[in-house]
Order: sequence, then structure tokens, then C-alpha cells
Amino acid sequence: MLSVNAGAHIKLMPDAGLLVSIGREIYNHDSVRATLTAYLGWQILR
Amino acid sequence: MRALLAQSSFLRMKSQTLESKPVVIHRTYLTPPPLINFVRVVTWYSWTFLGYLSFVVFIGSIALGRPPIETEDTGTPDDGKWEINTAWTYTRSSRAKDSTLPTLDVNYGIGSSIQLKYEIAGLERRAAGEKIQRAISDSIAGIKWRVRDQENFPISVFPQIQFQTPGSKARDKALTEDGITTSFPWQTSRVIGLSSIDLELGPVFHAHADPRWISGLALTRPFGQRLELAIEFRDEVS
Repeated sequence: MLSVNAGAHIKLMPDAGLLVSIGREIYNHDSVRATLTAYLGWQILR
Repeated sequence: MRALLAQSSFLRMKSQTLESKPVVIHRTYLTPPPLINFVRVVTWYSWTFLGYLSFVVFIGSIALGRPPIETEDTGTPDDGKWEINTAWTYTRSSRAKDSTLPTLDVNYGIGSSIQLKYEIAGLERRAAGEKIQRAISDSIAGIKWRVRDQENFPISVFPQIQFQTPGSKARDKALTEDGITTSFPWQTSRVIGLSSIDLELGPVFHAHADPRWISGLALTRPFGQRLELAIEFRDEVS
């Protein structure tokens, strides 16, 4: 399985930020290929 | 932040497990019509070009990635500090749409080179013709240790174990696999200018499957004080 993903971290506050990524599997011989993967998150540092 | 990447791997395990269930695929024709083939080719080359373009942009100066990609870096939270990530994730395939809401990934720094990790998520699977399945995911616990704490060539190891969360019905609903999964990935990084390259390689052992190897190459670069971008190529083979 080979995948490619691109992501971003956007620092919105001194101790918190937005996390975003998107990607897909280029090929997958063992299972059904994921045509889209997405991530939307929030990170807190304390 | 790279802890987020592990979440994706974790979710992907779920996804593969789910997709291993028998699913009836309705085929309208034996071979795709030319238009569908054309779309597939255009899509393939678009992604390839995107990857190549991103690589060219980043290769001049790469930095340790902080955006949510799968390849881990060697970084750990500062001593006594928390890194808490909550997220919605989504995976689409021809057979199902899997998502988590939320994914909770909690990390804690001990000293200058140790990180403790615990991760859990709420799983949901939507497949055509099937009832929506929801359950609490397996748990993932891990310890990252930066073995070589050098600025320009650090090395870390991040053993992790995935096990059934007490009270979870995910395995009854075939959302996760039976048995315990352990992984022992190693990471290293190379800083070039503002950017960095992260490399990760290690084995994954599952109670009921052959060992697998995961590898990842991530290129990351900050843009200003508030934005950091990354791209990665990730492989997994048995």
C-alpha cells in the first residue's frame, strides 16, 4: 500500500492550532483502496 | 503533532478490517467505458503531478512536519507539557465511508526525550445496503524515546500497542480485528534551512497476520509564523 498525504498546521492561538490534511492511496494490493482520506482537528498545547 | 499521523494509521487499520467483510459489488459492465477510463487517468496524473510538484517545492528546504500526516517525527512535548489532539477523520473507498468523531490523542512529555501517548476514537462505518455501525475504537498506547538527541540527526523509537478498549463492541461489529497489534517504528530527521525531512521505518506485528513493514518520508516547511505545510509518501508492505 502506497499513499500520499498533504497537511497543514495553522497556529491560531499561542497554545492551540488547526490541523488539516487530505490524501489518498495510490495503490493497495491487500485491501480496497482508499480514494480519499481527510483529517480536521484541533490541537492544544499545555 | 505527528502523533496525529499515528491516528490515521490506526484508522486505516479499522478501515481495512471493515473492508475485509464480504460486500456485493454491482457491476454494470465488464469493462469501464472510455470516459471513466479517461477520468481515472486524469485523476491518477493529477495526484502524481501534485505529489511531484510538492516534492520539488519542498525539497529545497525541508522541516520536521507538524501537520497531521502519518509519518512520525522525533519530537516530544516538553517536560510536564501536554499535547492534546481532537479530530474528525474520514476515509472513503468503493465499499464504505468510515469516519471517527472524535479522535482523541493525548500525549505527555517526560524529561527532554520521552513522550507518553494514549489514543481512542469513536468509529462509524457507512456501507451501501448495510446498517450504520458505531462503536468505541481500540486503544493505542505508546512511548516515544528520542535515543539520539542531536539537533541535526536525532533518532527516536516509538513502540506502540493497540488493544481492545474495555467495554467496546467494535470487534463484535467487525469494526476492528481480534488480537493485539504492536509496532516498533524508528524515526530520524534532517533539517535543511527552514525545512526538514522525516524518515520512519519499522515493523508491525499482529496476533493473527503476517508481520508488516511501514515506511514514511515526510517533507515539511513553515511559511511565516502561523502556517506549516507538509507532504508525505507512506508505504506498508508485508
